[in-house]
Amino acid sequence: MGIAAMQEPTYFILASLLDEARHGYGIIKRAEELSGGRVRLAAGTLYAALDRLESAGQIRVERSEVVNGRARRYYELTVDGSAALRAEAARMAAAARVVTGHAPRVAGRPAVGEA
Amino acid sequence: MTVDVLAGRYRRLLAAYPRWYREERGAELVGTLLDSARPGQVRPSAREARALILEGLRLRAGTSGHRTARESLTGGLQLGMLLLIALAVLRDASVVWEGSNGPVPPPGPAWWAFAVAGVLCEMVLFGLIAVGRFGLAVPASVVTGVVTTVGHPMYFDQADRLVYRMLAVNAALNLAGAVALWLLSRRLGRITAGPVMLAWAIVPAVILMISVYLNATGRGDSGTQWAFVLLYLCALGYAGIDPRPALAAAFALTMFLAQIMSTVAQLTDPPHGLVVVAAGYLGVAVSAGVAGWLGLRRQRALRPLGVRG
Repeated sequence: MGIAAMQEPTYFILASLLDEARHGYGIIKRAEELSGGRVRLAAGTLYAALDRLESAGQIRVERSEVVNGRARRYYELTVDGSAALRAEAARMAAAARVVTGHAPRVAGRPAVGEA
Repeated sequence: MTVDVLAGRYRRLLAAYPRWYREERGAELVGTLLDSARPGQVRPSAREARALILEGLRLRAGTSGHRTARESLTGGLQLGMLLLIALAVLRDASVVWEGSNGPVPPPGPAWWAFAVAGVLCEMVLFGLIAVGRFGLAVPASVVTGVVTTVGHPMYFDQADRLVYRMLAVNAALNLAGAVALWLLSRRLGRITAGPVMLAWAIVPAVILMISVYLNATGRGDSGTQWAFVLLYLCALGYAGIDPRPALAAAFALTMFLAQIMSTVAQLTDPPHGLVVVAAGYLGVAVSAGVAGWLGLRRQRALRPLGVRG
């Protein structure tokens, strides 16, 4: 069995931490933005995913603070998390090239460029 | 003020999580929920409430993290075996109790030796499987099978071939389960059944024994039958949190089905009711298996990137 593909929410959670450390709500908003609105994380789902990623060593808490009486933890990617995210992006890009690198051939018609 | 009302309602939903988690992450989780809320919102959204309850229960069940298919299958098989052995312990202990308190005296001292030894062997087997000593459970299952197969018919004071065959089939099925458990667990090491899993094994066994007792004493058992239906539905619904009870139910029901089918095969004119019961067991076993499989798929989907399984 090969290395497992990442679930889309997990991918966008990690991707949301690429440029800076973010707190829970920041991750929810950024993941939604990066995915074009496809990934809308419920807070319970987000924290379960954060716990799993933290125990897998792919993210860590950068700092904690209280803003307007609300506790916040800021999460950042670890070296392992960054490497895993880039490996997944490369895997998806390679998969995309399988399709985008070939001229489309529609049934009944020759592929573009064929005589 | 509306924020306080909403925060209070979210805190109540956090009761689904274990206390240690609420103490560690509760304030942060409520903060994020309030950040996500619409202006003027006073009630938790159905989506947020569902996620909080499910994830909280998964955390309590210890299934919020990634688990390989092998781990879940082994856990389901372990629970199924515990359920069957708990049933056997209760059944055989009740036979011993009847032997000492019933109106008909038992056949003799040899019966006592086998009856008590059978219960003790089953209890040892239950303990070995509960603490994850699956390698030792295989020979213990052989010994238990021999003792119970030889000892049981003595109580009934008969040498009916059908009784012997049924007991032998039962022992062979239990041995096959123990061997499968040992093989599945070889790469996983020791798996100890927690209190929740032990409850999933013991409660149905106790309800079944109450049902058998009520039937035997002519008092009917509609209450226990409903309790069973409820337990079965709970196992199906719980598969979204932990697939092991549904997998265990599928395994135990398949064992019952195999026993019924072996009986049907030996009868020249099997009663129609027995065949209907077998079909019912098959339907329930398949639905439990499907629920367990869907639960397994959810568990596998939780793996972090780069983790195999």
